[in-house]
Amino acid sequence: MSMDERIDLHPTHKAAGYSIRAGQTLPFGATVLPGGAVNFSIFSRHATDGTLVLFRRGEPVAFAEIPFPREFRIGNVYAMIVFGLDREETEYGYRMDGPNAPEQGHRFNRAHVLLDPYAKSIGGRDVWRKPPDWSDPFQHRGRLVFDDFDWGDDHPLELPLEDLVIYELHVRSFTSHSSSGVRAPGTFAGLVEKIPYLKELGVNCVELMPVFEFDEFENSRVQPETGELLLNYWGYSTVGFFAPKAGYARTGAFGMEADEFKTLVREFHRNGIEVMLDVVFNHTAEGNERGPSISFRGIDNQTYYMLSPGGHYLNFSGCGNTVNCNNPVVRGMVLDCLRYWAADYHIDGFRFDLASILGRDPWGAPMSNPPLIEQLAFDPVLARCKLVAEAWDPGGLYQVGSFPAYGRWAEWNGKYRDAARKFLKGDLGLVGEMAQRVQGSPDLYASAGRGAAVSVNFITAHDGFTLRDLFSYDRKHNLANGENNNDGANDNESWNCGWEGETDDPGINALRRRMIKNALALLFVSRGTPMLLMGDELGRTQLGNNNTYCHDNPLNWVDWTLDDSQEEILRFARRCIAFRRAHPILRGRAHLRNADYVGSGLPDISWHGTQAWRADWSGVSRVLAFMLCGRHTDNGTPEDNTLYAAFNMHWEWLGFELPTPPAGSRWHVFANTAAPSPADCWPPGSEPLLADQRHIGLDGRSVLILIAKAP
Amino acid sequence: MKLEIEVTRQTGAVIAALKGSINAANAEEAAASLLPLAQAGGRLVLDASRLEFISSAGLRLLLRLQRAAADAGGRLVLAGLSPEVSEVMLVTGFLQHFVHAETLAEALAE
Repeated sequence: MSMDERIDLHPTHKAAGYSIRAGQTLPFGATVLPGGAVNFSIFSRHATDGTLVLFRRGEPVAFAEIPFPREFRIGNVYAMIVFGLDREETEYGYRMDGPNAPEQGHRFNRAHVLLDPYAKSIGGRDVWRKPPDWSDPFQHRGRLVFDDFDWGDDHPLELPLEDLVIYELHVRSFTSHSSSGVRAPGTFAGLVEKIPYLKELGVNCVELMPVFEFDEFENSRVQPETGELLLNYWGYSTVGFFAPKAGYARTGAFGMEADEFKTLVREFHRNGIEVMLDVVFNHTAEGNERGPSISFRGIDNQTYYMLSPGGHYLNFSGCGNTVNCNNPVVRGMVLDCLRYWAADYHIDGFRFDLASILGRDPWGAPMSNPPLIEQLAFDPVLARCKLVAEAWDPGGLYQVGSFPAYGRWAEWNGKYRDAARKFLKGDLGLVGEMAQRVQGSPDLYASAGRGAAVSVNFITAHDGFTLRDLFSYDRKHNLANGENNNDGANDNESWNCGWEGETDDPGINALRRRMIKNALALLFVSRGTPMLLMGDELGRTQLGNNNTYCHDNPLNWVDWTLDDSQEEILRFARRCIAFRRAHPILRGRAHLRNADYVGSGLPDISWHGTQAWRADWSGVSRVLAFMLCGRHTDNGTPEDNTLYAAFNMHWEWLGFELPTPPAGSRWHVFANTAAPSPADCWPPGSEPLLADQRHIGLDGRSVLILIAKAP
Repeated sequence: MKLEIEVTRQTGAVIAALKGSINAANAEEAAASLLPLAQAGGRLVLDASRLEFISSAGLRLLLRLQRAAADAGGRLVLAGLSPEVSEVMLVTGFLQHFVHAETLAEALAE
């Protein structure tokens, strides 16, 4: 024995044929120690006793059950080191003893083998869509992981928020279609193969829909009319917060999903693209009283869930239960989880599903100074991660513009989406609001001292219509979900352009194409942080279904075979993104002041209409035009071109008088959505000179974007 | 599944042929025979043409060998990885750490 060998790495007890000793209380979870022993640590405030249960991989019967000796519990933490375990073949869970008294909030039952809330790898669903063996009493099985990935010189990219172009995507949907051409469709590895496409598109951040372990078979059922197996496909229902979805990994069946996902992050970073995770802390996969005991409810129901005085689950999530995330212990778990993903997976940011729930106290009441949201804002490890809130919840909280931000949080700007949709389809009374939205919504954020980039601007997201469907359907068509079209939102603010659904009518299809381009143009010239939904740049359709959470089929999958019309939209989207990335004046962090503060002779933003310098703010206007002075870029960014954008959302042709461009420059055309492709948009540097510098006609429902430069 | 290791020596290279499977159960035993070869410096070729499966622990063993060889001023080359093993190594980020060749002959010429 060498002098520096630690004596506490030797066992002190024997139990169930294994050598053990009292463990280290922190960190929670299973930690492989130097030398190969494993430290198991689990919290329960209300349990009276606990047992570590060990299985061989995939076997329904445990090979060892080791009760925690009294001296292994410190406070409310049970901790044990076990020697001699096979780190790859061992799966572990716990039995917890305690009162089974639901009216008091306790649901202990030692018949259940429970998943460790801190499990870093979870078996049981490690091959996507493989039918589970429901007779197995241990469905979601903790596994041990190696935390020694070699990152080389990789680190989170820390791109400025205002420079991001976010692309929201679903890992399986992106490459599951046979046309994707990847070697491992529907996996993390398959997504890596599509990085060149994303790079060419120009996005620099992917926001992955849930990738924490979930159960695709939760509430799975056969659609009676189609025979289609409906799944918990999107995965907004977490089983384990520390484990990547093993079924998303090509190597998940070998237990290597952590390495595969880390490789994905590294490859995205290598290509200048950040990885943001859509995280679901508001509820878990355990559902309500009738749901399964997977983990939390059997470990410490009263700690982990918001309960009524009678012990019933409060349901602010609309999904059966609500995580009690302002209980200090649960808060600690959320913090440990995010720190783990930031530090061990190099994740660049997080989008919090139904984030308003994180601001509710244990009884559900909204707090003015919610400790979890504050703590995340000030955490040293998360300090440079993007934090983006979906600032509402189904319990009625709507906090767009008022989410407690602590100088750190950004928001999905639902008001941008709603206003943009109405404005684009020609609704009246939107011009004033739209002027706020294209400026980064200073009406929502400026008075609280929040900049423009905190507004994540989007017109479509996974919830709701795709961009193509937004202009192809007046109403949702969700029968395929098997809920009689009762699910999904009704306030879509969509317009079918004259025919409900797909059509051969060339006029309608041309109009839809133009409407899509109008939307893309609006999104990418708006100040704030733009987010594009997967496939919207390809004219992806969900056939009018605005809630495809349950479909593992082409309703969700990106079809990579493109017709001419789709190629045209893709080209337009690429050029809009390239235009945005070429022009810092579109990406300011601060709010515009509607004034000249650099002495250029032009305000940073000025408003126009069919007459230059005279915007029509009236309730009957469908026209908005603005000019951004290129000398008003934020501190530190180089001087930019002056830009002009005009939106004619009226159905009739209108003549526009143009403001005079800065001395020495003339107007050139970046985009005109009324012009037939390929003259609808131009790559940076090749914009053609506008013949008439004073006047231009805009077709009905079209957008014009000009750039001032020397001829 | 078991692992058999057959070591042969040629001028300028030691060749260790791996047959079967490397996993957590046999990785330490494999390390005991392979680490000294890597630590000796010089060229170590791991002939993986009959390696059917390699687990996470096995991949970590390969990386340890590679580091040990580099520390000793030597060089480790993988030869004859099956398409499946090669793909698993690629998507888990391990392959990029290694020099690898299609065949043993190419590895020796490497």
